[in-house]
Amino acid sequence: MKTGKLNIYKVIIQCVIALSILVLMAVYFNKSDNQLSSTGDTVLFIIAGVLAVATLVYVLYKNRQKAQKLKILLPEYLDVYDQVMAHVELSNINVFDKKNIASDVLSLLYEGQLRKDSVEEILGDDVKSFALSVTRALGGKVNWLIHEISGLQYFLGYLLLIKAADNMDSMKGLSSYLNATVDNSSILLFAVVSFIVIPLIFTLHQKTVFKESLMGLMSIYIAIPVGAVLLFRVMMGALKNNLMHVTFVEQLVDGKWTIFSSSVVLLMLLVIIATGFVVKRKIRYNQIKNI
Amino acid sequence: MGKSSQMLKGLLEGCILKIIQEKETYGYELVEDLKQGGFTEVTEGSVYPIVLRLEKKGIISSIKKASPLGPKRKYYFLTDLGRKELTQFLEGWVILKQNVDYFIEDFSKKEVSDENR
Repeated sequence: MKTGKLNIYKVIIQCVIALSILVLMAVYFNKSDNQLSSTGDTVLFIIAGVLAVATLVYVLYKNRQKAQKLKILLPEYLDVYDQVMAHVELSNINVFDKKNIASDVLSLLYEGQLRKDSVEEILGDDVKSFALSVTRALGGKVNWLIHEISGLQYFLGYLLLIKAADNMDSMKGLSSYLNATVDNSSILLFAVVSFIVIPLIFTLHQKTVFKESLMGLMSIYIAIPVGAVLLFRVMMGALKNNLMHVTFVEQLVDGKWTIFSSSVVLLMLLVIIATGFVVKRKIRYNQIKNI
Repeated sequence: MGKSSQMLKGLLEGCILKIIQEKETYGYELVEDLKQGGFTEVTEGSVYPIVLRLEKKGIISSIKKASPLGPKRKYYFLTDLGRKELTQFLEGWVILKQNVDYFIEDFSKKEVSDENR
């Protein structure tokens, strides 16, 4: 399948997912009779909604950029550019370096196109090797540790959002500001999303960037997230039906957790999130040093 | 083949530094100079990651200048650190060449004369 056609399917899939999430959100809020059943679930849906809207905006923006690039690059060069940049975007390289690479690779391909050199003459036989060597040159190789650090940042960010959402409900006093109570099941769901689903999506996406595989894309964008949430709901249902007599399970399914019992805990979470960026940067520089 | 490509990578870096020392240059021109020097298999795809790494380590730096062919071109030049690296590479190469030349040219002659004794 040509990469151009694959990109069209990718756009359609992304738009369908984004719209589905928006529809689910509308159904959820409509059903709950203006009473939000759980701060954790609400924040999760809001995050999903924001991501859905952001995805739509991002897809439209990328398509506009692509249309502009098509004025410069012929389709076969643009396909290669897209593949290389898709790989670079998934790497551990910082934002500024990614922008520089985008500009350099575009310039490289454009001048090659003007000289009437083929893609193989410009980049070599293997576009994948080129993309890998570019990301490795800047310490951008991603491993499971980096995924889990990012997962920890998403998870802690989710807890902070819950606190903010819970606090917006009432601004009573300092003690209320510092306490946020949320369902344990919502926390567990977001932990599964942060530490398992998102790393799996990024890993699979990296592996399928250079293969022209629609099944791969569908697994990434639809099957994994939807499957994970469904599996989680089935698991929670099974636990509720069979193991509620076990205290731990009862707490997990029906319990609530008070997070942020003090401002120190809040500060600690912010420090851990910031430390995550420092650690990822350190891993990047070590990779560069060891080349 | 793996080992010779590793060796080539190290040598390419040194040659790239030497070219950049002689003149401010850009990617395609670098590749053409390398091909003229005998590295016929190199492409911009093989050179770009090397200059990217060298720039990240502060060994070379770059400046964008207008190009007759379209978007601005990145021209590379050596930094002070780059000049030190190049000096080290050239010194290391002289010693390495002497050692390898010994085994290629003199070692077999030595073996033959030992046998004849």
